[in-house]
Amino acid sequence: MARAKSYERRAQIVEAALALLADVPLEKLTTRLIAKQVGVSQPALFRHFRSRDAILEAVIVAMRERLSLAATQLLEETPSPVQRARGLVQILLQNAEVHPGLVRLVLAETADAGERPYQATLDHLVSMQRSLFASFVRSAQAEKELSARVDPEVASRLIIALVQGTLLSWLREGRDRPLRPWAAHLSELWIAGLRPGSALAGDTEAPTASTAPPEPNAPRLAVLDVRPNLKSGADPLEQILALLEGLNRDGLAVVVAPFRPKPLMALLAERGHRVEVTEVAARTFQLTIVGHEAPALIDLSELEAPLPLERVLAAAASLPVGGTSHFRVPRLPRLLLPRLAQRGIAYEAHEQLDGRAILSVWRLT
Amino acid sequence: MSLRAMRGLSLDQAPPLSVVLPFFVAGALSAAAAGGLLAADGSAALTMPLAPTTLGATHLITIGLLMLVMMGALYPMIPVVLGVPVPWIRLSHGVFVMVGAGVGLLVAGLTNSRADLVAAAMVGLGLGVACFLPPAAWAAFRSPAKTPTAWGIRFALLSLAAVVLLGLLMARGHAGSVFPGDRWLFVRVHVALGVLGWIGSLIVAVSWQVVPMFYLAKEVPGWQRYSVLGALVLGVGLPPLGLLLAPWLGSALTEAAVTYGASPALFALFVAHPWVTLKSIRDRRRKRAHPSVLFFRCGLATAPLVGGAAILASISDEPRWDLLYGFLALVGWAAMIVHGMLSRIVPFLVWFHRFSPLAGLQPIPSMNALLPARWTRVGLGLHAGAVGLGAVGILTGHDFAMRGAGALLAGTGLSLAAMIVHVALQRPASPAANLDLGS
Repeated sequence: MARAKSYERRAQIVEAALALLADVPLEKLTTRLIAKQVGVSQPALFRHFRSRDAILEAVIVAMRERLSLAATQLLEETPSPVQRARGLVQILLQNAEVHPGLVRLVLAETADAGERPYQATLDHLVSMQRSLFASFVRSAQAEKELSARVDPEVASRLIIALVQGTLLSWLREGRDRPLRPWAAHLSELWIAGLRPGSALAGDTEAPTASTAPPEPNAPRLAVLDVRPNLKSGADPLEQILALLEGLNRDGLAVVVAPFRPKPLMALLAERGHRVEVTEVAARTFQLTIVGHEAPALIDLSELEAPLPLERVLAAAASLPVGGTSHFRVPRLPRLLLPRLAQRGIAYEAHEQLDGRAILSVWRLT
Repeated sequence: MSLRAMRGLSLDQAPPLSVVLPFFVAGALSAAAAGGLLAADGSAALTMPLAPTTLGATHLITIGLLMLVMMGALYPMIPVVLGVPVPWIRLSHGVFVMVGAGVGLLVAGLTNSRADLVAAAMVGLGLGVACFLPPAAWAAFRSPAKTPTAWGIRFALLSLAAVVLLGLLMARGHAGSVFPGDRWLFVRVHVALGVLGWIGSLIVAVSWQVVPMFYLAKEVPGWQRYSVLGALVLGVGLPPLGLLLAPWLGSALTEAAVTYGASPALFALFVAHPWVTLKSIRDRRRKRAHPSVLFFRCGLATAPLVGGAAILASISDEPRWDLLYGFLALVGWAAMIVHGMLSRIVPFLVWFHRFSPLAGLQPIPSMNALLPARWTRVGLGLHAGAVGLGAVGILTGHDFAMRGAGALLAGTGLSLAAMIVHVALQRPASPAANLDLGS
């Protein structure tokens, strides 16, 4: 009960700060003002947040969550990548209209580029938008809707610049005119520039990069911890997609993140990947991603020793040459690995933060 | 744990069954012999802590059962847990012979008050430990592992070195030379190093490995493991420090350091470790567990009683509290947990060495099929009965209870030995049994 109340109070404080930011310049936003808006004393405020910067960081995290949710919904409901890009522009402008405080925060801090404690979170909010646009461009290029000559990274930076410029002039002009109609203008202008034959894309189309089948010795188990990337404010979406592209078609990827990356999960589900999310430690999530051709992950982590060892050896014995199996085992199987090597079975293992382990085995000869 | 470190482990590093099993069988037979002594002498065996039979039975449990089993278990444990094999593994056969003979001579010497036998035992035990400790310590300290289990094993080995040195010094006194100081202070330090340092650290460290592995129990959080270990190091270190500094501290301070210095270790072993381990067993992922988990539960549940008896022993002059403390600590807590560990480790080792090479290639029995659960239950019943009746016998001085406890303890040791032999005799039916790694 007390925990629920604490959670509600935190949410109230975040909403109050966001509402105040709409009209109060960032440098004048104080904890005293926020406390007054919530209707609590300043010491009561500090029971939930240690500083003003911590409140601002929570505001950005809350906004990131909302954006994630909206982007996930967009991915689920809109199949065309170009339509998705249009939809994302719409979401960003709509969000700005509802929460002008966030726009003020993003633009002020982006212009400052100072080293605030919440700078990385803010950078990630923007880089997440950029990653989504880049992935839409890449998908549209694959479907030949947009020119393959355009660099998705450049295209995504351009649309972010267009959106931020529009928001800046909207703020300066007193937020009187509605923003939503601008969404269509912006996205049409941007998409027109990326179409084959446009000035930006040039006349001649570069041959579409063929999706080469992965190397036979490509990794069967790849692990990426994106927490350091996020700490520095970079969105890891592109890195994760690159990891998956480099994976063997029987492979399994493990991504460790400090939150549930909902848009990524929707994007991967759409590509036929099976994604399983596990909370492996406090505020740390592990995504286990298996391609549509890859064998499913077999969970042996509820079995007492030596049953996992026995099951893995039995499964490995029936593997065809080149065949792969993935297992989740109760711990790093130190004693099993030499047995596998003895039988000519290759393996990779990853120890999860909760002590369990993922083991991928494949027959070499 | 990095994959690189894991890959360094090969099957060649794991010692064959022929290295390990003799230690376990001899350990079980020592428990049976201790039971036999108690059954033969009845209440006379447990009236004075330094009575000949009491000393004999105590050393049959501490050295005969616990030390032999722990030495045998460390040979495979060090490579598996710490990733470094124990070198000169053939020395283990010499260790077994020398320590085994040393225990026999020591018990014979102590029970018959024969200084020559005690002196011979000193040579055997000293040589046995000298052949065991350097290779084991070399592997343990060379390993890069920095887990609480690794530190626990290292500290246990240091404690073993200290307790043996002190034991040899004390045995010199028993063998006719002048005792090196106040006998009671030396006994307390010896107990602190042996029971708390060597036995306690190893039980704690190994339980952190074995309990999650065999029962899918929740890992005890790192800070709790390090706190237990820290308190253990402090409580085991203070009594010998007090004894070493005796000429400067004066008698009152020395006695306080020796008597109360062990308190942090007592708290760690008999309150904190049982609490966190029982909690982790309760919260295990797989609710249906092998009956051997009951050994852990009984042993850990006895631990607070051991702590209570230790407190009573330190504030009262009545010898029965010292006896109760020793009996509960050795038979109720340590031996119970060790018995439980053997009920899982022996079938595991035999299954791993002999049957796992055939897994997936031909039908093989499961590990549980090697040792029927009823054997484990019989062992538990005998052991728990011995502890209960023995405690009653010490508290009441009732001769029949003591003899009954002795008989039950003898039965416990024999059933354990039979269990080990029964499991050890099982081999795959096919010629593929040749895959057995040296057993």
